[in-house]
Amino acid sequence: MKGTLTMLMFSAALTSPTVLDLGDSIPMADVKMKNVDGNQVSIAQIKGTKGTLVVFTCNHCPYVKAWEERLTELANSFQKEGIGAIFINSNDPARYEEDSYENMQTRAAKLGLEVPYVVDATSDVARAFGATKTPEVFLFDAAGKLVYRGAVDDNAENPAGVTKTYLKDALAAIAAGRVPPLQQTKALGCTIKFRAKTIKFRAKE
Amino acid sequence: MSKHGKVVLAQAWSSLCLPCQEEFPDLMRLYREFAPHGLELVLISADLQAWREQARTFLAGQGVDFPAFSTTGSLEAFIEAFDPAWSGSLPATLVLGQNGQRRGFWPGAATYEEFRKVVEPLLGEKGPEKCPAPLAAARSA
Repeated sequence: MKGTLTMLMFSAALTSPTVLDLGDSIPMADVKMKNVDGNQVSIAQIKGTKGTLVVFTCNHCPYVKAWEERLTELANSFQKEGIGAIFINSNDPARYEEDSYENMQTRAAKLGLEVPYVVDATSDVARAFGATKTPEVFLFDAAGKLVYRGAVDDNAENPAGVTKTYLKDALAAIAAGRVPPLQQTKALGCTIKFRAKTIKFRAKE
Repeated sequence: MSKHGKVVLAQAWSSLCLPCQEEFPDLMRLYREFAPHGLELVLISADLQAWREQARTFLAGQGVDFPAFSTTGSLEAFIEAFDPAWSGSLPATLVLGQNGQRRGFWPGAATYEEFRKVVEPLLGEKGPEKCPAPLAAARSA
């Protein structure tokens, strides 16, 4: 029995979170999150006429740092073509001080980020997307259906060495009203440090 | 990666990844305790080229005195080969049983106790009569 219990616990530990499938709608789109400018912003508010880019990111992760200038440039430029964008930090800053709100403000200013960079204060938005790491990209079409998820490109280390511009190609496709040529890719990233799940109790009436 | 007769934990990690750094002492504690009983630890650094000197320094600081590895070539291909269902979040640990078969995959960081609960039964699959005394003692503790 003890062995069975141990293996069951192992299986539970190995269960992966459910990630959005292609064609799924944007989850928790109406949840307000605090932007680096102090305002509350939801994904629904930044939806573009041609599509919506949601990027799970943070300040501390070296893979984010490797890609953040490219991500910023893509978000800023395609916003002008009707694709709304939002960067979301779901990490618990109690674990990584570098991911604090103040450091997000500094980072956004340094990068020249022209789209919202918001705090997922419960990490529940990341949970709803099934996001597991930073950076991780989800791109929705004009109808709000997921059409691309995964990586920015195929070379974190060297922008000049990129041979496959996955996200740029997907953004260009939906800006033109087409389906992205490649809809799922993978890249390494830092595991999201989720905030502890809070359980609200209601007193019996 | 198969090590016949050994239980293998193969971990993909990065020296700049904070969860990886936090988890490492637990991983090494597990290795030191269970290596004499058949546990093999295969460390695969996914550090980019620019970070590899830091990775070497980190491993030395953690007392890693056995060969460790680095990814080469396409990281996408590495992710697919390590586990097709893996999103690429670091750290991640692949678990192989004594016959070389995959026995699990662990995305994200874990503690010594969480690792131990996985490793101990797999090491014990030799059968109780072959179970080394220190391991048996640990199990009953």
